[in-house]
Amino acid sequence: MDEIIRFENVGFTYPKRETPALKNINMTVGRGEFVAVLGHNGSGKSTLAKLINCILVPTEGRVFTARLDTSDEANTFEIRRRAGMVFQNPDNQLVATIVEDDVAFAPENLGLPREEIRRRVDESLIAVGMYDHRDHTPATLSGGQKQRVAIAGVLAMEPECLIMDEATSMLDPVGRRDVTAIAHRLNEERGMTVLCVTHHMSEAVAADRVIVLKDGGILLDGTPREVFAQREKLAESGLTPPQPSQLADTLRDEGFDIPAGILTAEECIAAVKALLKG
Amino acid sequence: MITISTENLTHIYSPGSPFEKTAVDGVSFTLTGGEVMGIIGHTGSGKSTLIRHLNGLMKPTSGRVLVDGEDIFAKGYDRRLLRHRVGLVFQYPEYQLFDETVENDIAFGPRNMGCGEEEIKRRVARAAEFAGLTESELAASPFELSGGQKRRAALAGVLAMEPEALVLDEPAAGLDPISRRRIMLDIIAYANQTGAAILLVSHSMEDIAAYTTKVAVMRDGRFVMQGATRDIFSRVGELAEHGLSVPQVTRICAELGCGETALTVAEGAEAVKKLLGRGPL
Repeated sequence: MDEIIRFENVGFTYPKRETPALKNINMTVGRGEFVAVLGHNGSGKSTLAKLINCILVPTEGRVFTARLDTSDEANTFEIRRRAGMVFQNPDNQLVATIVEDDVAFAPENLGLPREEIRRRVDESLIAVGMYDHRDHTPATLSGGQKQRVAIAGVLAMEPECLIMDEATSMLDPVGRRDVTAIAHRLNEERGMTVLCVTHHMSEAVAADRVIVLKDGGILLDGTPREVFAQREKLAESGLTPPQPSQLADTLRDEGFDIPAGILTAEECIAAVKALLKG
Repeated sequence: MITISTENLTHIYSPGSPFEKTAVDGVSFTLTGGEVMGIIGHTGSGKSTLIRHLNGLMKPTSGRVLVDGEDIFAKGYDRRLLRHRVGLVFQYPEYQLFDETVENDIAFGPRNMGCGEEEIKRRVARAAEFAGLTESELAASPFELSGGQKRRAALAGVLAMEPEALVLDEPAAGLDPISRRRIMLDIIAYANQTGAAILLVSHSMEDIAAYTTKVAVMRDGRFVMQGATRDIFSRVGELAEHGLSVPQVTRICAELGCGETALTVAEGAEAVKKLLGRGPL
């Protein structure tokens, strides 16, 4: 698989802090992967996300995004075009007073011709289902709609990688569902790499790969099924598996013949039904 | 013990203007000390507007808010004292931390209430204990703390007022699962030990199911369902009509045909064991 993000022995310490926020991180994300990053508050998740598109540069080791070294300032502009980021708070990342102007901000900065900007803005707004709101002011939108506009702003750069730093954590369930669905569609239809930092186990269950951070290091890295089977390690890192996994694990602990690695309600129901028949 | 109730509470924004909007529409409920009530519903259903009436921050367009049977908007009612009795915790309360140390921040409320130094000390210590804050966390600047610690510091600031009722809007939003569980347990412990009434607004069905005793479902400004938590979560289809889901464990047990409604993983495990008709092997 072609790589899009590579961390080589990466460490990061914030200025005036003694303890590093991240230490000795080695990982590679392949093009087209959908990766969820989990961890307790203060585990280094957001720091990791910010290292990908040069908001931070490592204090140790190197990060390569689209094979470009993030520590080389000459690469910053190109890296940010290729890897766009959506942040946590829907209220402080839209800059323009009209939705379509906000989406046009990046392509205008790229110095693209007028017709090309128009095309990108329209296509991006259609992709996130916000085209009908193109002439609205962001202030009238819900949190979920604002995040969708923020994603459109990233798409207008035609990036290869979408990074979401807890982009759903301030949203209600409807907003969260809409934003998550868009990220999955971009991943499936365009092969866009998605890396989302989240506290929601349901989002992690739907990812191809889950990385769990603890105290600045990688604790677990695998498919959701592999990761959520590691109950003790998850508990160590302040996380709890999804409810269907917990229920299945409790029953198995008590001697019932329920398979390991259950993630969804459907799998749990099927496993209990199989026992009822048997 | 405190009793808060509303009678046909209605709040209309910008009445008589083209922007007129009825945010709360004829809501009546009663909440008594010792109860933990949850309010669920989509964004824009009127939850935030409703709770702002309960300590007199907003005045109803019609209807009444009663505390211990007295209309809080009656002439001469002491609403300043009411705000000491009913603590409101907004979303992301840690944004309101401001003092140099966590301890000073927590002391702000009782000092403002006119408590003496001894009493302030006692209250800060007690609030810190409820919120699980250590000596070193109390001495720290609020800005040096992690997200979960900051949230608990902000909660302690409200608990130091020793309110008889706590109204909380998404107290665990944005926290990791362990910090989330911890802050919810802190709140429940406060209620159990002091007999305070708790009103919890949350989008997390898991938290509402696990921690509340009764629930109201709000939609378009009205209470469309109201009852004991177990009863509300047994009405899966009706909740779905209002666009709301139940916790996954509740759904698993309902679909398997377990007799009783499970609200937590532990209850779900018991219900499934009963269904399987035998104890552990």
